[in-house]
Amino acid sequence: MNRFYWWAGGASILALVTVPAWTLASTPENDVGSLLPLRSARASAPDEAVVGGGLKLPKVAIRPGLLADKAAPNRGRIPRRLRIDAIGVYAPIVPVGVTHGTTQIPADVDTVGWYQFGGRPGKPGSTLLLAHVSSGTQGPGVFFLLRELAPGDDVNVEMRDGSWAAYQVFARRSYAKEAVPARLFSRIGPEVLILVTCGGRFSEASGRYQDNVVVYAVPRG
Amino acid sequence: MRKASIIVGALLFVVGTASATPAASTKASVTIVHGLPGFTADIYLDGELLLDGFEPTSTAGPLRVPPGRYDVDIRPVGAPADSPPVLSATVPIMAGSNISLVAHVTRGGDGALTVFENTFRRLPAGRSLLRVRHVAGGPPLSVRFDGRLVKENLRFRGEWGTTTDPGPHRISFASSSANELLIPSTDIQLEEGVAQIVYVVGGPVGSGSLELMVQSVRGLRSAPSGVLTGDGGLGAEPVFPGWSLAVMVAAGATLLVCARQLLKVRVPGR
Repeated sequence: MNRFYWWAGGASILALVTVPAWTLASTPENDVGSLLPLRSARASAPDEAVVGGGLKLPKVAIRPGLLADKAAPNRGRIPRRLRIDAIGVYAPIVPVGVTHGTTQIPADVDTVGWYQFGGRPGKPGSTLLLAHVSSGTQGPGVFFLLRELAPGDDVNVEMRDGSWAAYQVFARRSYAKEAVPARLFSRIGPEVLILVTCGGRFSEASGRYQDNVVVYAVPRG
Repeated sequence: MRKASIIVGALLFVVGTASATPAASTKASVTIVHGLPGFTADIYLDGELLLDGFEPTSTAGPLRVPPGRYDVDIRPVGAPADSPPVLSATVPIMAGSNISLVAHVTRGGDGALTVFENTFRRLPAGRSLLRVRHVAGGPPLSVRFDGRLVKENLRFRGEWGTTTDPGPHRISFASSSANELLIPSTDIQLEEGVAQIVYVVGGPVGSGSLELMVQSVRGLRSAPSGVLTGDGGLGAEPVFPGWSLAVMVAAGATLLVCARQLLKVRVPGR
């Protein structure tokens, strides 16, 4: 009988050491995938001519300058609905702007915000979609499981005109809130879809999360 | 066009504000704005033909040039390069500056060249900038923006500006003295992080008709300071997930039971 207790006790000690160690080691990584697709071949300045040292005059673009001739810039389609089968997301998208210097987030945790001053599907730059991970009063948000998305997962966006844009996740990153890259808000560079929510540790004192979870996706095909 | 008087008003040439746009570059940006009615021009820069057949109400540029003093000559389209220019000026261009070179009429109906400095600070995230320049000669204008009188005496070659929300706005101009509507309410679309410069051209005010020209200065965007997408802590990453905690508790309990049993055996007589 004694033997049994020795064995059981030994096994418990072993479990107490290995289980926490293994758990810590196997916690899903915050950063997966490569950000290489974000690199553009070269930052281009299409409407700037450059004069060299010897003042070789380039062709300078002449354009009509009357206000009346300027149409509102066609900056592409506006997203209306987001669908991510891998984490069971099917949610409406509303345009959001800036409030008190930070991006507006829809108050409803089941609604996704689209940063209207960033990029749009089919255009250069970042189509930025933001949503709550959770709310103290409304519970889990639409991006509650965002940190489980992995390279290869499908993300689909429906536009107001009824068309769909298909994307594939290529990377996920976790950034300290203060260190979120400006690339998220860009209107230039390669076209990417960026999904952002909160994550990391939660500070009871400030009522805020410490990090942002950021998922990057490129157009399919 | 007879030989016009030459006025180069190097307005707002503030020394020390070398960087017009935040782009860190020693080259300067030059945009040429043609607000001189009824005169198709050839524009020469340091004796070389830069713009051939430059029509009124067009803009050209931005042209990136090393800093220095440049001779700008304007001739009627097709005039020989060695013919006397209709307008000419020497324009000092500072490193990193961003300027607009505007051809326009004066009070007396002559042609003139005016340099404006496009020195705009980076805009806060989610904002746009509007700047209005009166280059139509003659008396001052009053400016209405989104239905409000925002500037009462905008003098010839003067500027007025505001930082506002992106999107559609309306702007109109009246003569300050007679309060006569000269340019009725006109739609203008402002873009986030972009400075939109509106030139009142044509004229001179009181005799010729007025038109509005525009120039955009980009590269003034800021990113928002953050993304606050949660409270309540529900989505926080636990250090140990539930199953792991359960195993640890079970193992701990087992260990206690075992230890008790083993100790019991060791203490005889109990």
